[in-house]
Parts: sequence; structure tokens; C-alpha cells
Amino acid sequence: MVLLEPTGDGNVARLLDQALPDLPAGASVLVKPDWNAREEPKPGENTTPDFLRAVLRWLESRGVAHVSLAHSSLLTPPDVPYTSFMDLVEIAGCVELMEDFPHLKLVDLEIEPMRLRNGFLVPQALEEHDIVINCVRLKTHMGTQIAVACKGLMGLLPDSEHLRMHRDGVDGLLAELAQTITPTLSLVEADVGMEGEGPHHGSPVDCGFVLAGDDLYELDCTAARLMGFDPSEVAHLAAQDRSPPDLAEAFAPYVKSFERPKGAITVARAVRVLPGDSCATCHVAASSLLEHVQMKDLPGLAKALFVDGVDVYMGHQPESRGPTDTRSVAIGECARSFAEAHGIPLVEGCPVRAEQVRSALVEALKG
Amino acid sequence: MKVLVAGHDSPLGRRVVLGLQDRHELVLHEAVDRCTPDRWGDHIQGVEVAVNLAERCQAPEPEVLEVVLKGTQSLLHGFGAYGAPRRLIHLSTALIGAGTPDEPDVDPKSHGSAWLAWKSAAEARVNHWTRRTGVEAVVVRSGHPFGAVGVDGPLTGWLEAAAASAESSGRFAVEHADVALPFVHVDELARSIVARVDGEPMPGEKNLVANLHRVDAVGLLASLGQVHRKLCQRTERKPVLVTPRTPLGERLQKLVRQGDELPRSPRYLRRAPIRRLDPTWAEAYGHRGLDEVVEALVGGAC
Repeated sequence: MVLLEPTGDGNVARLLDQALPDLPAGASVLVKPDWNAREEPKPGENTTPDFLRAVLRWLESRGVAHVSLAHSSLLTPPDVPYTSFMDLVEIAGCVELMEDFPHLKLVDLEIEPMRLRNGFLVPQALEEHDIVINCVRLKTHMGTQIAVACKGLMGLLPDSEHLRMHRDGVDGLLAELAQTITPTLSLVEADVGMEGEGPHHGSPVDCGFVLAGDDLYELDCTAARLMGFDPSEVAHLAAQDRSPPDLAEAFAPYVKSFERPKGAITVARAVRVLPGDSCATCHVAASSLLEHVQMKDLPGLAKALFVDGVDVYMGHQPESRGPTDTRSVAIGECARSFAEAHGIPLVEGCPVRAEQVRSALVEALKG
Repeated sequence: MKVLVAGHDSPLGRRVVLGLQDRHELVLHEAVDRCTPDRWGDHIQGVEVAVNLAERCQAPEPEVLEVVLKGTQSLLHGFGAYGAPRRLIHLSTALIGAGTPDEPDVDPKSHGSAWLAWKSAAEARVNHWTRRTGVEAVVVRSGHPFGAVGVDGPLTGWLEAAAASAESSGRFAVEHADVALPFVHVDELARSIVARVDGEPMPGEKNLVANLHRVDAVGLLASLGQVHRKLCQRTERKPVLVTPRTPLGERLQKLVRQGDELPRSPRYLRRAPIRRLDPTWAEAYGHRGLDEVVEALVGGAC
């Protein structure tokens, strides 16, 4: 089942009426938003408070009393404080939501007891709710092409699992995760989507709909087609070894051609970051370098970062990619083979510590 | 019984290991964030009792964070992957106070130090996790241990500062003397933890504050006074006589042996929580006499 409602008043409620017609009032419901912004969310990056409010109002209207809002922490290097669940509530602009729904239970999945399920560390809280609603956005992803319902499951896992999945092959493990955790319903908020260098650095695209589905694979295939992707282009969908459904005729008017991620972003004017499929530990550790340069007033280093330029490689890099003439540095174990093949200095470690990356990059860039 | 000791490489950890090794199969572990649960592997599989002594208190903040909070969380995730023990003994701090922190995440700003915020958050996570899993929790809210050279903590810091002050000016200048933290001899703390591994907790017991034999404010004054005198002897300086002016100071002076060597810090004398005004405190101090306590203190300072 994949359902679509155009953007407009009451669309979320109409969609939920169709998707969960027999929801009993006594059910316990866990709602997982898509919260992955570490600072003010860009359009299309996070589940919005209005969307969550619409979901919660609908649950309230159906007399559901036991509703939990749950998310894990965002992954950070071991020596950098958590971007914790409560930080995410604040960043997502959802503090007022707690006042509107005083009985809403907040569940920090990072600190929940875990169970091993099919090789994944999964919060016990998932088993303690009758219904799980996975709220996600419609966006591209520099590492996994698209980040919709399957990728959204990672917000249910402790941050340590994020590191492991990126380290051991995120596409294959996402396919396995989609077989391991099967939410009752996934909702794709797509009044605005994100194209290009998602999930954090992309650009907004007006889409004008909300999608719902009870099958992660079918929903993501539909979402991919609505973004102008063929599901076979998306490795974690292709790895699920199923036949992708055709797009429903009624959905055809909503198809857009999203800009594909190029896999590189530029920061500090002259630093090109090529994240590959790396996890957030390398990103967060490297981004702390800019702050360090500004704080320590290192003019030589600032010149390297802001004028001369440097390419920073992280994660497993595509085989087709090679270094340019620009000075290059690689970070983390995932980038080791790329660094060794091309003679690029490597900041070793998995996970890397921010301090370790800072000092190694400072040394590398001084030279 | 298979017992995991995380943070076995500290002076406290070494004493706990010594106290357990004859009777138990020990799994020793360094105290860092292992980050992914698969890296715990056999370390925690089949463990019946886990003792988490992972601690850093005077390290750079990132290291404190990794060991104190993220290391603890990582251990709990590891239990999720490889099976939980029936009992978890967690080293916390008496600075957290009488209540049990319920908030899983604690704002560092409200604690005055990142170390205390992360200790509090770690204890909150242990409390939450043990409540949810039914694992028996023994949270040891310890005073700062002394009695082993190399144990970091305010006592060592104070003594070093006092020694430097005494050497340069002949006077004590004790900073942060108003921190209401009891001390505990490292041997006592280790014995207490070993007893919690071997014994059965009392019905309903969840928290144990290991401050049974602490050097309280009076004892510390006496000890510092003697340290001062010894330092003066060693540096051939004349001890400075400071006469306390407050009634409390006069009472203290009567209580402290050779009380003409009280440290000068007025904050000490203003300090409110004098918990034990017992003139025989030194004799009551476990099996140690005052001289032995002073030697332990001076041993770290000189």
C-alpha cells in the first residue's frame, strides 16, 4: 500500500484515516520523526513541528492515549558531546509541541536497553509499542542516493550502530535493516523535498504531497520514482532483491527530476569535502577544524583552507574517483585504501577523535 | 564467577582486581568508548557481575567525556548485544548529592564542571537502564579517594598547591576548600566495592555512598596542619601561627592536635558542613592513626 495526498489542510489526517482505519484507542504508538539537523534545519531536512502536530492531533482524535515521541542521539566522535535527543527536540523547534501534548512521552532511544535483532542493536522500546510510525522527509543523500523510509530507520538505532553500518557498508546493511525493523506505517513529508547534496547540504524542491506506506521497499521505490530516480540506481533498494513496483498513474503529475548528489561540498571557500559513505564521526571531527583555525588565529592554516584549497576525502570513495591537483587529505579507516592508492596522507582511526583529526590536519596543511 | 572490571588500570581498579582475582574469573578492560557494540564481543559475554570504575577527573574534557559518559553508555550498549550481567556496580561521586538524577541528560552548565555533569549523566543512564532491564544496580557514590600516589582528585591538587604555597611563602593557600566533598581512602573504597561483588545487596538497596571513613573538614584541617609542619621542617621554614577568630575556629583549634598549625584559608573556617566534631576522630579513622593518614597525604605532596 502506498498512498498520496496533496499538500493542504487536513491532508495528514486524511492519509492516516486511510492508512490506519482500525487503529484501536488502546494502542500504544511510537512516533519517530526525521531529526538529523545539528543546527537550524534547512527546508526539507527535518520533520517539521507542524507535521508532527498533525500526526499527534490525529492520534488524539482517535482516542490514543499512549503516544511516545522517540529518536536516538546523532552520532558524534567519542570526544565530542552527544547531539542528544533533547538537543534534537530543541533544534527541531518542537519544545512547544510538548506543551500542546502534555501526555506525550519522550523516549531517548540512545539510552534505552537494547536487544540484538538480526545482528542489529535495536531499542527494546520498539517491542513495547503496538504501532510504530516512521516519519521521514523526501531527500537525496550523498552516500546512499536517497534518504527516505529505509534510511529513516537509522534514527531508531543507537549512534554506535550508525558508525558500524557506515563502516561495514551502509547500502547492504540498510537493506538488511529494512528486513529487521518493519514500522507499521511510514509517512513521507514532501511539501518540500531536498535535492543535490542531501541530507544536510541540499536545496529545496517544491513537491506538494505527503506519502504513506506500510512497506518500506514499495514506499521507497515510489519515492525514488517521484524524485526522478530509477529504484535500481539506489543500492540499498537494489540490494533487497525485490521487483520495484511501477508508479501509480495517479502519482505521475507529482514526478520531479531531483538533482543527483555530486558527492562533494565546498566549505570555508576552498575546502572541498568528499564524504563518500562516511559516518558523522569523520564529518564532525573535520568540521571542528574550522572553528579551531578561527579560534587559534592560525593565518598560515587559514590561507590553506580559505585560499589555496584542500580536498578532504572520507568514507569509501567510488572507484572512478581520483585525486585532483589540489592538496588532499584523507580521514578515517574507510578512506585508507583510497589514501594508499593515491599516496594521500591519512588521518588514521575508527572512530577518529576530533582532537586527533584537528592536529593531524593542521600538520598536513602546514606542509 | 565471571566479573568484568572496566577501568582496572587505575589505583582503585588495581586494588579491586587484587581483591577479586583469587576467587573469580576476571575480564579486565580499559575505560574508553568502544563505539560499536561488536567491539565488546567476548569481553562481556557471560559476565555475571560488571564493575564500572572507568574514571577521569583531571584529564582534558574530551577524554573525560569519552571515558566517564560515552564509555559507560557504550558498556550498556554492549550488554544489549552480548547479554546483561545480573549486577552492575557503577562508580559515581558523592558530589551528586542525596537525590537520584532522573534526567538522562544533564546540562554541564548547571553542575559547575563538565566532569560532574557527565558523572551525573552517566549515573542517570545507569539508573534508567537498570530500572528498565531489572539488572541489580549498586551505584557507589564515592568521595574522592586518597592514599595512593597518582590518584587524581582535588585532594592531591590541594596538597600540591599547599606544598607550593608553603615552600614559597610559608603559608597555606588552599583553593576550592569549600567544595563539600568527603574523602575516602582508596583501600576502603576498594574493599567496599569488592564486598558488593561478593555479597548480596540488602533488600531494596540501590545506592551506597562509600564515605564510611572519610577525612572530613576537621580531619583535613588537622592533616593539612601536620603537612604544613612537616613541609616547614623539610624546608627549614618557621611555621606560621594563625589564630582562628571565629567561635568555630576556636572549637576546631581545641579539637586538632597541635592546633597552632591550622591552615590560614578563611574559607575553610567558614565552611558550613562540619560533619563530625569528634575529638577522637583520628583514632576512629579505621585502622589508621593520624600519623599514617598524614604520611599518605604528605607522600603525594612531597
